Amino acid sequence: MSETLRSGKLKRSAHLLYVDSSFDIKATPTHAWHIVGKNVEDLSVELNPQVETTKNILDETAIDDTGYEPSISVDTYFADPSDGAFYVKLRDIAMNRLTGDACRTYVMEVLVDQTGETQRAWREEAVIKPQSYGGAQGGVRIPYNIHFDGNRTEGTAEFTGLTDPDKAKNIPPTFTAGL
Amino acid sequence: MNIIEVMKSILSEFPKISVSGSEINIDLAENDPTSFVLSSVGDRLVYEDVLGGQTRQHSFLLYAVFSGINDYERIENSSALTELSVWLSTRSGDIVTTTVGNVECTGELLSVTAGNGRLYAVEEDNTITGMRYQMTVEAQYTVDI
Repeated sequence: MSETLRSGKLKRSAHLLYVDSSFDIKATPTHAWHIVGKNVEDLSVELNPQVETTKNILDETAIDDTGYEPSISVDTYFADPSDGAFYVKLRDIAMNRLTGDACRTYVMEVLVDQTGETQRAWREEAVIKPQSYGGAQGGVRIPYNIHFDGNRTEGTAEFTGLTDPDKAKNIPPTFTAGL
Repeated sequence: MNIIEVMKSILSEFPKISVSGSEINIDLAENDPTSFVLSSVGDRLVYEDVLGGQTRQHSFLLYAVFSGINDYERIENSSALTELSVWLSTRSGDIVTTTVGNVECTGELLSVTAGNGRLYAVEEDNTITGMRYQMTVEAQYTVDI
């Protein structure tokens, strides 16, 4: 993949996060990407690096880096039936207290930092866990957490017809593994 | 309809306005009772989500010219403003379109709050039927950019 990077500071909407609303982990998945972030003011991938510092009897410091336990907290999701399969699945997980594979799907991150239709993307298995439901006046909320669960794959996301990178969120992407 | 047109339409549906057959005028008032004037006084960004979608708040002043010949009528006038304030708080979900550059973006009305309804002015040459009341109205709405 050849890269032609954009210039200037990236807008917040240049980092796009999708959840596969098919909730179907298999060798050749067919993704149905649902974009995350509507009504969400602040959304970060918390990497939670696992680093332990130890000091031996010679006063030498050693650092044991055992990797990351990344997760995302989506603190605002208004239950919206027009979100289709994603809403139905989140509703079922929350109301039927589903666990395990029923909560497992793919997530995809896209960093729209290049010109053109093809952008760099990362897909990973994840577990989606609603944290509560109900909430204050204004709408039924189902805040949820996304726990990354490995098999991270770098690839590309194709936004067919994209001319303005700031409009990528409006075009459904197609993920292809590998660069 | 943009937020001003949506609010004009909503106010026109308020029973005490629709029954009276009064129109909601924009900015310029008629001096006869019962007339209503909606005046836009500002629009601000409340917050922007991570996808760039905006929640905005539009502020209005609503003027109403009522007859206030005695206490009975004046209580009726203030009661009407109170009823309007409560009725507006139940309104949401209307589709709002906002033009950003050359693009028409859709969104929805989230909430309407109203308050500070009070007698604002009495015309010097018409102290009986020219009582002007004022109320502030705030409308929160989304713009899916």
